[in-house]
Amino acid sequence: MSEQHVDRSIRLAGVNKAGAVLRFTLVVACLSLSLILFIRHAWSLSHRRNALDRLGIGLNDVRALVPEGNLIGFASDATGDEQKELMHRAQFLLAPRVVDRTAGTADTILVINGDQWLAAQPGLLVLVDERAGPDHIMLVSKRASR
Amino acid sequence: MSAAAFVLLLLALAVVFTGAVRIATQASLQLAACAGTMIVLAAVGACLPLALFIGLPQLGFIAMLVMIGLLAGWWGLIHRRSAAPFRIAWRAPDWLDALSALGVLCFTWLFIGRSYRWGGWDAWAQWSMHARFLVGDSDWQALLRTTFAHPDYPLLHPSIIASCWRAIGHVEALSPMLLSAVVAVLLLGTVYAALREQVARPIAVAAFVLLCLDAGFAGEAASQYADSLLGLCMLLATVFLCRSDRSTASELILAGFFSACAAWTKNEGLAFLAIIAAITAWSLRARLSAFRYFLLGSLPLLVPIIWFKLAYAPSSDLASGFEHFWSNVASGRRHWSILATGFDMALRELPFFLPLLALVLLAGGRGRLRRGLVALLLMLMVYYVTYLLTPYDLNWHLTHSFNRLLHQLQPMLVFISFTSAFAPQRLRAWTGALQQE
Repeated sequence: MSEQHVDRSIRLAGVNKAGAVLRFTLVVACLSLSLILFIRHAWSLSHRRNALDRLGIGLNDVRALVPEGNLIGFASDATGDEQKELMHRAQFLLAPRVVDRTAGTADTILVINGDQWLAAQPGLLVLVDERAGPDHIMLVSKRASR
Repeated sequence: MSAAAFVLLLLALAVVFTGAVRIATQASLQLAACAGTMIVLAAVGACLPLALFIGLPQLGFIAMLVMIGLLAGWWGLIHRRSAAPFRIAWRAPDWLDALSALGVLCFTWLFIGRSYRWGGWDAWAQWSMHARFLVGDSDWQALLRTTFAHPDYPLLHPSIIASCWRAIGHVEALSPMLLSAVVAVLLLGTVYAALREQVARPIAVAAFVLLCLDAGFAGEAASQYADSLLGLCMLLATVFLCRSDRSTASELILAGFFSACAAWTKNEGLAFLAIIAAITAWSLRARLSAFRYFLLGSLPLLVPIIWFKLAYAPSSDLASGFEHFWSNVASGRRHWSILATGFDMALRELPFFLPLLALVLLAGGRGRLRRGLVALLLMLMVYYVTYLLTPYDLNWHLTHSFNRLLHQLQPMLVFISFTSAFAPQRLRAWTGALQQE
């Protein structure tokens, strides 16, 4: 093998080695960064509170008063999609209690942002009166008013 | 059971099932690991509801899991010929590995940018809400009275979340997010591993990177909906059904198992199970007795499905759509709306879907791949008919769900289209045709 060939082989081996190191570094860096980003996201997601959590804290007293599996009526001044969202949020947070889509036959009624509704229903006993962020939460009893 | 003990139990089960799948099917370690992990998720999602049905929530759940693990481990030990199932051949990463790693980084970036506390609407209003009913020992049946929150939906996804909450001891927002991340990783891993068995490595990496860069796919995967889990079950069932021309008993068992997993994840999965069962029976018509393996595989999940659907679940809200069957079918406006909105949403939200569908139709999925292609087209037809008969406002229903239905089929479509178009024999045929020209 001539001296030129030997030089070329050494240079190629050097390039190959540098390429291998670069590829290895790239793979390790990308995977580590992915893991770090994900852990950071999971950490912030588990600690950050949103509107749903704030409503959940407001409903703590309701949870304490209504046994699991019981039916809770629902009322609100909100209409359409806003009412639907409030009702679904309440159901999510109060499960395994069941939220009825109307005030219906339930003895206790959860009223969220429903001051006007409540004003039109005289004589109901207010069991819980709580503010959770922008939402006004009340639990009223029909039976206790009689 | 503490959270750490629960995680250790799941990891042990994942190792056992990975080994069992590898021994039974000779699949690659990556594919076996994805299938094994999905089997563990399915075991958790089946055992908890069964334990609740029989009234032994905690003891029954853990006992069933341990028993399943011991059975699979015993089977693996009997059939093990060497330590090969877990031997990993280490090699220096090449440029394809570097490209895949960049794909993973991009996907992570897209995923966390679209992942929110408690997930999207359906995630907290349905799946996690259902899970909250399964956390308590006594009152899970109250779930059936939540008339506006689809109490007829199957329980695989909520049961997995509820199992985590039971182990942790309280309800928190991390478990649903971690489940969505695990399912996303399994989806990407299964697509790569399954393609790697069928096509050249650069093609498998291209498909993997394509999915990683799809913001629509990442968004749906991060939403914490059950659609990704359903997509994973559909993909695994298709992979094992299309793996060889003459499906082995183990492949048929796994195809049956994952099809039944799909049926226990969402109601659409019931249609998928029926379609895959029919296709399997048709493809095995010359040796129909082999169909018993498919049924055997689906049996463990059919038990909770049938029990839940017959004893507890109310009828589906979509069933009322049959009342106006003929008027809906005869309405040209409905047909046009479905097609127009469908194409529009597919182009906007999952831009790779239609080109891949065109590719698979062009390549024409031959031989064993025809089974997957037929399943995919029949599922699209099921979705079409569902929209045609929906009792809800058609436009509302389409715009709120069509992207999710396409997301369910996307991984399966990537697998079938890349395998059809780029299998070695297909590439040779194309190269030959080009040389002749």
